[in-house]
Parts: sequence; structure tokens; C-alpha cells
Amino acid sequence: MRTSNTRRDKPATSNQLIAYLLHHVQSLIFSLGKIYQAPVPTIMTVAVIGITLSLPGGFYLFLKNINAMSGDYRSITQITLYLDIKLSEKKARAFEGEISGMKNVQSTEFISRKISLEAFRESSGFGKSLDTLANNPLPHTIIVEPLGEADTFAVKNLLNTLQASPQVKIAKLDTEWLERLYTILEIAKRSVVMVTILFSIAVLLIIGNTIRLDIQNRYQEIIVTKLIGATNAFIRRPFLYGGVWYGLLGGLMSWLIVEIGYLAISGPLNRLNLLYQADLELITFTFQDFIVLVTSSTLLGLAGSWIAVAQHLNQIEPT
Amino acid sequence: MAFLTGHSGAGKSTLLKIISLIEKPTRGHALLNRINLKTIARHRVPYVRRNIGIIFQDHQLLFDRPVFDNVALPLIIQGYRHQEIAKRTRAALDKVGLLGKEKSMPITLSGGEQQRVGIARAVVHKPMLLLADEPTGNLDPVLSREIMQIFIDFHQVGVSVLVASHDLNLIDELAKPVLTLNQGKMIYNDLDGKLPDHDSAEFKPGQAHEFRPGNW
Repeated sequence: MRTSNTRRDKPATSNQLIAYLLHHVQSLIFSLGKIYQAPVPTIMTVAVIGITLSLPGGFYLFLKNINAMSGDYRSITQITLYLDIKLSEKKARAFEGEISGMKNVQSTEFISRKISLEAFRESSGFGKSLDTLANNPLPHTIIVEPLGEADTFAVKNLLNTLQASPQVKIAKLDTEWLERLYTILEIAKRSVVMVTILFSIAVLLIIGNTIRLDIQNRYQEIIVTKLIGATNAFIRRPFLYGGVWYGLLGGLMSWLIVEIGYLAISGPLNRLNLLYQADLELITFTFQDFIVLVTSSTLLGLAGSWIAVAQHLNQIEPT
Repeated sequence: MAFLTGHSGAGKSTLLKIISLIEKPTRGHALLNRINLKTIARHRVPYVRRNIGIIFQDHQLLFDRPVFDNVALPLIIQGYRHQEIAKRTRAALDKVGLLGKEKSMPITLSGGEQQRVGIARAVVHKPMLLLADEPTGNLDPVLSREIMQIFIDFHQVGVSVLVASHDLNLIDELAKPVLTLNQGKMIYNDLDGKLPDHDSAEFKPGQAHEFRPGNW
């Protein structure tokens, strides 16, 4: 079939490539022009996408902050040693000196049985009823703080060494609450993944539906262009770029929403910092996060419009 | 150049639809420039259509863009270069006498002007065959004659033109070949440009009608 190739003044191949690329740019600008011509429906669509994506985005940021905060607590792991009750205070203090010379030990704190009992008397509220006891039931206690740079494995090793020494009755690593926190964080992480998947599908459907309506609105135009000899690819292009714009603008919108939420929270958090003299600092999206958010939103836009176009455009044939 | 006439339902539109690849013949074959329109692959359809210029009764202009962009559309579709598009589009608008209106929006034009924009769009890519379905259906006799004159001008520079029309007076006046259809069959084929009398003998069509541009 040599219908069009043998035509007289057909453009040369190299020119055709330039024209092809030019048409891509034209479609991109044309679809932006369409958006500009109908700002209200576009703003509404973009807002829906932005709000939808801000949920997983905000959830992700929240998790990131919790993660960063729990990282601070990782370093304050400590080992509590409950010594043999028969051990004298002198021997116990000597043992403390022994420990402070060990590898991976930052510092030690000695709490004698007497002090423990006093502290227990005050905090427990049993008061005088403790006096009825013949002997002090509490042992001497040593709190060992491992070096900040020691990893979990080194700390466990230290724990085992201490547990093995005859002076120690019980050695306890205070990490249980941390493990619980990590489990909760793991659950939260998976929830973020699920929320992200669900909301991404929602965005896909929103954009797909918007593009479908767009195709229906321009039904007549599509038929005329087909009769003039437009290929499906030519007709498809502005719709695909329309989806790309929706995705891009929606992504930017969701970023804006999360940033505004961040600003809203950071005020009260600073007050909380003052009150508790804590050092909590909120982290926001990094540049990389921003790029990932906007890129995936744009790709969702492209995919959504592709689905709509594949479903509806081929069905439109002139009659 | 030839006219296609016949009562409503005689098959004029169907014939035009077959040539412009909107429909496929259920029986027989239709050849366009030696291409069998019945067996053409779906993805080749746009490329075959580029050899044809179609003019619609209701113009089918795109009202969201100016006249220039409407006329330039076939060239944009075929990937012409920017300068070439501007040159050819202006030439086509000049031929239909609308060069001064290139920046106007179609909605601001009269019916006759809109139809001339439609014609400019149909000829801008220099098609071998020009199809017009009732191009003067909505126009008064003076405007209709003007439009027909534009077709005759194109025919004189080598474009084949097939016009489906009801306007028997105008057809008679122009003295061009006439094809008359009835119930899907060609009942009269007058290459002298005279309309049939009512009692004329039925014209027997061949198995294949070949629309070879340049023969008319």
C-alpha cells in the first residue's frame, strides 16, 4: 500500500521526526490550554487528587517522624543488674568497679538495697507496713549504660557476660517497650503501604473518569479529526497529556496540603518542647520525597488517562 | 467532477461513506486509486483517508479554535513543518476568499463562510479526491452557486470532485456528469451532464465501481 508515501510534497523523514516531536510539545501545551480555558472543573479535579494523595503523604511523614524520634530512644537502652541478695555492699561496689572497666560500658550507677527500700517506701505507699518485714527483701542494684555507639549485638553480648557472673541474680535489658514500639511502627508502616495503594487506585479512577468525560465532551471533534485522517495515536496524545497535567498538579497540591499541615502542627509542638524541655523536631518532606510524590502522581495521571483512552477512544468511529 | 443524485435513501450517503471508509461494502468491491477499500486494515484507514478531502453539509468545524487552526488541522495531523503549514493554510484560505478571516472564530462567521472554511480544510492537504455531501443544503441559491464555482475551480486544477446533491436545478445548469442512484443501484449514468427523464431506461451497474481520480 503506497497511498501516502508516494505523495508529491510529503515532508522528508527527518522533518517528520521534528514535526512528530513538535506535535508532542504542541499536545502538551494544547492540553494545558484546555485546562486553562476551563479552570473551575480542573481545579476541582486537581483538588480531589491533591486531597486524596495528601492522606498517604501525611501518614508517611507522620511515620517518618515517629521513626526519627524512636531512633533517639534506641541509644538509651540500659541493663539493670539485680545482685545476689547475700552479697555485701562492699563486694557489690567492687563488682560495680569491675563492670565500669568492661568493654562497651559507658557508665554504671550503684543503688544500694537501703536506698532501693527507701525509694520503694516513698513511691509505693505501703509506708509503715514495710517495717514489719524482718529483712530488706531488695537486693543491691547496678544500672549499666552501654556505650552509645554499641549496636544491639554488642549490648546483647554484654548482657550475657553480666548474666553469667556469679554476683548477678538477674540481668535485665530494658528494651521490651522499645520492641513493642517497633512492632507498632511495623503495623503502621504496612498500613501506610495499604493506604497508599488504595488511594493510588482512587487517583487512577478519578483521572480515568475525568478523561472519559473529556473524551465524551469532545466526541464530535474526535470524529471530525478521524475523518480528516488522524491516527488513533494522534487523537490519544492530548488526552494522555491532560492526564499527565492532572497528575502533576494533583501531586503538587498534595505536597502543599501536607506542608501546610506540617506548619500547623509545628507551632504547638514547639510549645510542647518548651514545656517538657524535650528536643523533638519535626521533619518534613526531603527533596527526594517531593520528587517521588510528584513523579508517582504524574505517572498515575498518565496511567489513568491511558486506561480511559484505551477503553473509550477506539469505540468512537464516525458513522 | 461528477454529481451524485437520487432520492433520500437511494444510497448517496452510503456510497460516500464507503469511499471515506466509514462503512465497508457488504457485497461487491470499492476501489480507490487501485486500493480495495473492503480489505483495508484498520490501522491503515487514516492514511487512506488522507487522500480524500471531505466536506460536510453542517461544516463540522471545531468551534473552540480559530479559522486558521481549523484549516491547518489536516496538515498538523500529517506532520507538516510549521512554515509549510502556515503557507498552505493561507493559500487554501485565499482560494475560498477568506484570507482576512484566519484569526476569526468559526462561530462569528456566516453559514456560507463556515462552509468555505470547511472546503479550505478539505483541500489544504491537496487530496486526490474531494467528497462533498450536500454542501449547499443549508445555503441560498446565490451562495450555493458560489460554492459550486469553488468546486469547479478545484476540478480545473486537477482534483477529482464528487458532489452529492439534491439541487437538481443547479446540477442541470453546471452540465457535469451525473450519477443517479435508486435503491442502492445506479439507474442513470450521464457523462454529458444531463439529468434523466423520468421514463428513462434503468442503467445496469457493473460488479465493481471504480472511483479512479482523474477520470472524471
